Amino acid sequence: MPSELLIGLIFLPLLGACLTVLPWRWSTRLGVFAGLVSLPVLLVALTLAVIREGAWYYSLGGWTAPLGIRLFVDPLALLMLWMVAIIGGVAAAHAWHDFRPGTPEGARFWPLWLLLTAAMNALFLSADLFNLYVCLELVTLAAIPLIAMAGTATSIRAAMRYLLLALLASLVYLLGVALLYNATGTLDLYLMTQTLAASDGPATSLAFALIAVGLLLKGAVFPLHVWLPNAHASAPGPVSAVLSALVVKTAVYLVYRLWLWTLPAEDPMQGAVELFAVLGAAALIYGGILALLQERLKLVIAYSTVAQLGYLLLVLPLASVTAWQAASYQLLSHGLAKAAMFLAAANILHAVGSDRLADLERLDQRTPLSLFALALGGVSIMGLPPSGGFLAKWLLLEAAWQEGRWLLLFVLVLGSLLAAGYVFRILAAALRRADPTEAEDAEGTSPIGRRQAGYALLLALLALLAGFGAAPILEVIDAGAPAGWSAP
Amino acid sequence: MNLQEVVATALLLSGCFFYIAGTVGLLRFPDVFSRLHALTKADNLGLLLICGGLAVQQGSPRIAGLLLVIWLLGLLAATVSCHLIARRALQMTDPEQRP
Amino acid sequence: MIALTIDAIIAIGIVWLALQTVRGANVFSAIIMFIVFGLIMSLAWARLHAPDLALAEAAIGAGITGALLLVTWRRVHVLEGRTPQVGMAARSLWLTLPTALAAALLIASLGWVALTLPAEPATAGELAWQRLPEMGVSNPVTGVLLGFRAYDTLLEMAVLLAAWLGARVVASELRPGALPGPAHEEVPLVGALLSLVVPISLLVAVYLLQAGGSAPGGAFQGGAVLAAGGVLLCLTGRLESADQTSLIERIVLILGLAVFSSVGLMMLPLGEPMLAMPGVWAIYLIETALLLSIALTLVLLFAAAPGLRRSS
Repeated sequence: MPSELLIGLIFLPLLGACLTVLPWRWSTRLGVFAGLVSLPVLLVALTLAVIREGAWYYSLGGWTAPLGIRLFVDPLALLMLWMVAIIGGVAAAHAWHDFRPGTPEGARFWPLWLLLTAAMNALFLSADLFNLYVCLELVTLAAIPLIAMAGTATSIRAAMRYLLLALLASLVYLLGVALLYNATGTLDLYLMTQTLAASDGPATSLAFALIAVGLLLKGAVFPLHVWLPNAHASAPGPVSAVLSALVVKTAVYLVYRLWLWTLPAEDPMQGAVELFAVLGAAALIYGGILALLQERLKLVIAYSTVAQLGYLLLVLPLASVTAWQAASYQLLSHGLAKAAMFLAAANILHAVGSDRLADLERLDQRTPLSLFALALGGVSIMGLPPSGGFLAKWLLLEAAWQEGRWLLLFVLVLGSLLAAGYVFRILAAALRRADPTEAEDAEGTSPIGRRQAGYALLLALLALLAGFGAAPILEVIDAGAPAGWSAP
Repeated sequence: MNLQEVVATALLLSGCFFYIAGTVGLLRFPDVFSRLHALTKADNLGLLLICGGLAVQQGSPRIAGLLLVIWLLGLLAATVSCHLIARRALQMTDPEQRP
Repeated sequence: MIALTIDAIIAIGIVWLALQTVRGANVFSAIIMFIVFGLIMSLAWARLHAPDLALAEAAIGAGITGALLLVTWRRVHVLEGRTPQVGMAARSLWLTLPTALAAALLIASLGWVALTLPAEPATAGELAWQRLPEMGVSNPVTGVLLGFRAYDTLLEMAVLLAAWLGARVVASELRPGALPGPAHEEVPLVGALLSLVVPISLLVAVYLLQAGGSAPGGAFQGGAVLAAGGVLLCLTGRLESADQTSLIERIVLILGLAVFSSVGLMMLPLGEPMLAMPGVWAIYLIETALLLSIALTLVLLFAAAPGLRRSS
């Protein structure tokens, strides 16, 4: 029974996408309902199963690896699936207003959105290197037209650049996979560990290097991040939310899987984790500084994504349970908070007509709920208690302290300061009163639906709640820590 | 080498020679029409010789029949595209400079 | 000896053609070089004893992709009134030199590493050969694509659907306009060509589908050949762009993915794992659906139109 849940998580959105291609309104509604609303339901059952039984594999077609493709579910995969369901679901609810079924935009939007959901679920569950390549391609090809749906020249150009760079990344990744297959004889992530421990040579090292380059490019890790800010900033609101919160995480998730599960601990390529940490630190500082310099709200938030992804890589050399908790919590809370900020920014853009920081003012009167959501999201990004982001950063500081990594500590503190800088800059611009004598009313503001504001707020509150309700989540996450990341 | 292989090799080599001749014509002739002339004449005959050589080499009537179909299809494609190219080139040249 | 000469010619040819493509004086000659590159590449696949790949490369890589590139060139040339230019990036030394060096370094490392790999690696492919008879087909490529790794092929169909959906989004934003049709009245030869070639493409497509079980072939190659027939119909004005995607077209577009998923899901209530093939009939059923979806998707991508209809 639990394995059918895995199938449902992938195939309900996939078949839902097929339904939404058909031209009737009822088929679109049915497709979206079946593809998105079913996910949390399935995940509740799956969570209970994982708590009861731990992690397990499922062989598709009955062919066991190395011949066939396996699916693998463990607490990390479960966490990512929950994020897709919740963040994707709330963003979809936000998108329902702008992309109604029956309109041409809606007809083009929902099939792609559902394919993206299916692709992400398939990616987080897959245990096969080539299958992961196909999932990565599907994620990319579904996300890019969604960016272009904004219709502006910037968005189309940004989407095109993302497409070309993503294809290059996929090719480099595939080259690495081909080398690995030849050297180890299998494509399964978890079977490969034994073969790698035995046959370790320049081929596998080059393969892992190539795969790393491909994944870093897809994950917009410094210095390969150039495509991200424009792509995420020019996309429609819900699309930006899912891109920053989920799509870039797929690449980081794969780096985790490959280095912490597949690569044996004694392999020389493990030294690459130090390089990852350096790149993460550079991303944190570079992204933070550039976020401080941006003039447009969505660009600030996009550069913040570049910075916050750095945290996820900084964790890699620390190798302790605390570090694992920190990484998982950063994945979760950044996803929730960033999606909240992008949805709120979309609301503000709709209300004010422009997202230039200079044009924002008196937002506490014009868009109170959205501003509140933006602020709450910012609180989590900054790492202020009691948000989930605070917990993640605190655990990260603790892990670095335990390992005696003073440079890392310094970088972490610097990163938080920069985050505080750009979040407060946004809030200052939003609360500005240009003309103190002007009548304080909501003139010049297009109304936002109550629901639209509500969705952004919901995600922000969840980011906050993640800080409160940490204990049970951490317990499940601890069970899924990679081997070798034992208690400090 | 027996007779079959000798004949097959001879046919294949002469086919290659015709192709080379056609390509030389393509590179050396001054205008579109003479180039088309050289290319299609030489390539069709070259393809026939190569198909014939392969048919002899395989020695099977079924394969020979399939190769004949391939040659006919190649002929058809070359004919129509040559005609279309020539027609377009004719329309694009000045009336005074037409051959 | 002869084999080595042929391989050397093909190898040098591939590299030289790639160089010409990148260095092309104009975009048009680069496109032509790219098409020829695809054809020589399919020869390379044939020499590597991969006839399925050779067929796919010739049909899709050189054929359909070449047609797509040429029609794009023509669109830019005719509809926008300008000749497509090689981008600034390709001319800047700052970009090309480091890229070339990085590529050379990559090739060198690959070559050096390839020397350390075992000549006869013990891969999962060996297992596939052994268990192929259980699939009921004798072509190992079909066995892998639709049997052992059917899930990958299913997701690839989703990728194809995403590509068409994405093209539809961008086309609706950029509005490429109707396919540039023949500028003058038609030559009678073209009608004769169509009446011969289109039925042959249908025949070859169905043959490739049926033969895929035991010989090189399969749904992808057949779909590409069928799409080639469709492209000819578009080019000669027999099919023209429609503003809406008709219901039939929508059904055919999702048919591959839907049938594949349904056959796979059908196994679950029967107690079998997902995507276990109940028999060879399932493979042929799925391949037929794939053939139709692939062919229609490729033709629609070529026409850059939401739909097609018979011209009046």
